Amino acid sequence: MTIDIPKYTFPGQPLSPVYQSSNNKSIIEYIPGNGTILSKINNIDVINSTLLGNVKVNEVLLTDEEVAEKTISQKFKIEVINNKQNEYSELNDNGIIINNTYLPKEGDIVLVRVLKISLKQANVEIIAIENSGNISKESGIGMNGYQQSNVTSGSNGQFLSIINNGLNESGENFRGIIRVQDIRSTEKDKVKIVESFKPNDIIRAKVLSIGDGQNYYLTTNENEFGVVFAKSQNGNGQLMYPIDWQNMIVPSTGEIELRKCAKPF
Amino acid sequence: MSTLDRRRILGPANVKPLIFGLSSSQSKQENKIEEEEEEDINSQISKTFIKTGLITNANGSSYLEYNGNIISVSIYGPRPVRGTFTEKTSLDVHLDDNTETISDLLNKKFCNYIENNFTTVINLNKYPKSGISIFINVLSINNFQKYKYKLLSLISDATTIALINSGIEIIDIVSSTFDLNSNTVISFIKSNEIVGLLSDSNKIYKDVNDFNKIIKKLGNDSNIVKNSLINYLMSGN
Amino acid sequence: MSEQPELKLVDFPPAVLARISPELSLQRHLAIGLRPNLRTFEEFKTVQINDGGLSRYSSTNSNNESDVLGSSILRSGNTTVICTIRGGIIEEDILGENNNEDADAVNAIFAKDKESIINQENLIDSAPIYPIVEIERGRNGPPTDEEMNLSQKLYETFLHSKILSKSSLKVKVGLKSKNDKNEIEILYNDENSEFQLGPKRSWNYILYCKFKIFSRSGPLFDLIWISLISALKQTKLPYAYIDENAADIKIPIKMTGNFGTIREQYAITCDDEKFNNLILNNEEIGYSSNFGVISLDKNVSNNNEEDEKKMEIDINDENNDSILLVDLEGEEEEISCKNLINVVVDSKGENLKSLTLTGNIDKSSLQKAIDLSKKRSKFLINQEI
Repeated sequence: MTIDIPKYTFPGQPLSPVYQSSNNKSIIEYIPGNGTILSKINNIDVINSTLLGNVKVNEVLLTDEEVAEKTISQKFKIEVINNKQNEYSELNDNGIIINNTYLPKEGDIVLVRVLKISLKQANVEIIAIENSGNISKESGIGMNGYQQSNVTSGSNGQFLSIINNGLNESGENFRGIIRVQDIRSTEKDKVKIVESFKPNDIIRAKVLSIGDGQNYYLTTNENEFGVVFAKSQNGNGQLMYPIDWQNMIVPSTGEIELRKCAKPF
Repeated sequence: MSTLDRRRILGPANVKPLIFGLSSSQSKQENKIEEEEEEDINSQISKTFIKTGLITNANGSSYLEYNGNIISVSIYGPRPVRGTFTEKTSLDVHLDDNTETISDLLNKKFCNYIENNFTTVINLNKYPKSGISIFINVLSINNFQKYKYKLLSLISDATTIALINSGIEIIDIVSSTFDLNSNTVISFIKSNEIVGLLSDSNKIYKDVNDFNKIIKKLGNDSNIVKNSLINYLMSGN
Repeated sequence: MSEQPELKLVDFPPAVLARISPELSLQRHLAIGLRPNLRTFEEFKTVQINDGGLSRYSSTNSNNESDVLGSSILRSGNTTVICTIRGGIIEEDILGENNNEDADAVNAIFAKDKESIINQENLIDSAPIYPIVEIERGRNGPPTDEEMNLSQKLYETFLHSKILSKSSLKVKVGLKSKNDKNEIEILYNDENSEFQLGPKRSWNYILYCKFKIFSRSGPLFDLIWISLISALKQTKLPYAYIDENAADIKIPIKMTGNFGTIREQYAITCDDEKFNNLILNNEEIGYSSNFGVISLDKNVSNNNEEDEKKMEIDINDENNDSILLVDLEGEEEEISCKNLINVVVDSKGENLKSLTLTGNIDKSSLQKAIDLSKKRSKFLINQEI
């Protein structure tokens, strides 16, 4: 007996029991992925939906142990993908879209902006998760009533006086840290933060761990990770383009600055 | 609002609020019609208007209109919270009453009710180090004195829809129903599990059975509400 | 630089690029003659408005117990502005001249500055409205700077536009009493001219407006202004009366923590049914427009020769590489446009009611902005919103 898994689902709908037997009496195991939760109905383990959206069922390869045990013949992962559009929906035809309320986890790729650098680490804020979209719906404009200038009147001194270029400084974004040893995989002892990142650079990075209460820990120690977007002269100059893995150039002036670039070629 | 508020332009201090004279007698008849309608859940549903996703800078939102009550709910989050590491998300609820009829105390009560309802339902483990905020805006209220818990049940339903719209994972749809006679609101999930209950009746129940009857009646109604919510959600595909 | 094709950036989805580098995203759009919101440079956003049915006098409102006197709901793009007008009653101060014979002598000492009196006389008949602006963005606490700025600007612009005269806020007070047949009736001045309260007492309405804004996507003053005007046009003022029995009694009042009694001479009650329309000075009513001036970044626009040709079509003045954008919207435009113009005109478009300039604005942009805002205001007036 097999139970059909619905294509489109709503929160609370049972999708499938964890174990199903297929026609040839072998047992198929289903495991809950994003957008689903394991629950019990009449003492049977069932995978329930937690989102409104499309159901995706993908086969998962069996581990060697499972093959040896021969108790299950196939394994599938059930996921529910929210029907909401996100920033990556237009670009990705291959369907690797993650729910837009998704939070970064180990191994996810994120775009971050450098907030400050020190000898040991670069502090960053996470602005977008690849395939999921921008972190917060609104950037900092007007968040603190930011307009052209931000004058604090004498008596109301407790207001944050933020004069920046409109970036999200309201503490709204998730913060992260890239430690000096996580910048690149080779010659780790020679890495200097200032020769890799500058404040306001945009970096493509991978999440190492969800870290502590304050910060995620991130790494750029693979080829495709590093600076993807930077301006010369600490952000005052012009847009730079990568020429190799550690140099960026301003084409019109020929200025060259050091960066740990992401996949220049 | 205190008169010492210097961040808002409040106008002169010695202003008296407008007090309107008593309504004329004709509204009594209307009340009777409303009371009859209160018994008929299906006709209520057909008069309810719901729309989602109107507020674009929130993660999710819903707008609900029923019989002179207008409610807008927006969901913000999961977004970072300051402080120490938390493995689960925390939920906070704010109710802003644009009509200035809900007292502060009831406002708190409503917020608590909604918070309790939904902390049991949101899949909190999915969102570490973060918080989810529910902002409820009450834009218009009809006959608050009599139907205050009706309003609460509408708020609860609107919040369910807004949460689903936001893409935050919830284990089941919460559907709430209201009983006028006993002035009771109950919120249900799954097959009649109660996640929230408020009752303000001045009647004294003879025994538990009386109350069981109410629960049973509201349970049935809530299934109808739930089904129509599901219909709405699934048709939006 | 096009001779070095290997110089390229990682591709991002448009919305992500807008977050990473709003300036670049905007410049790339402008270079092809478009704005990120897909409007042309001089295209205003459309505005839809209705009365919202939140007022007690609204025909579509089933809730006639509300104390809202006028309302409007405005939608423009994704943004929604909900405006509600409420009222209060204030007893007018009795002028010193009327009951103090020494008033002239006192004025001679304390009101020396004649010029300031003259200046005030300009506004002496103009009634204010007290605004509260709330922009929903998922946080609570004290009002943000933007909310405070908007309230203040609205208050000032409204007062100085002289849209509302003090005389239209006068309360015509009636008297509720039992007549000979022991029926309760309410006598109003206009019905029974013999009836008069003491000449020295008079009351005025005070109007408050509250704005609730959802999905903010750009500068808000224009939208708030439209919604205020629209709500005021719907606003009705109730008749009010003094209950004969309630007059001259002691009423207990509660202040923070303290209980006490106050000798209330007249408790004014508003009539449940009767009302007057609020009279506005229609010729003073014009609308508001906002503009941003931005200069084109040559580096971005030179990127592609074809784009450059297209660009020249859109820029009228070839020596001037600045562009006037109307009705700013979206992150990119708001962050990048540092030079702003806001214009409020009157109904005929002849006089300016308010002009705010921020940053470095050249004369031709300013002239163009004023011309456009006159047209825009006329258009909105004709639309009769």
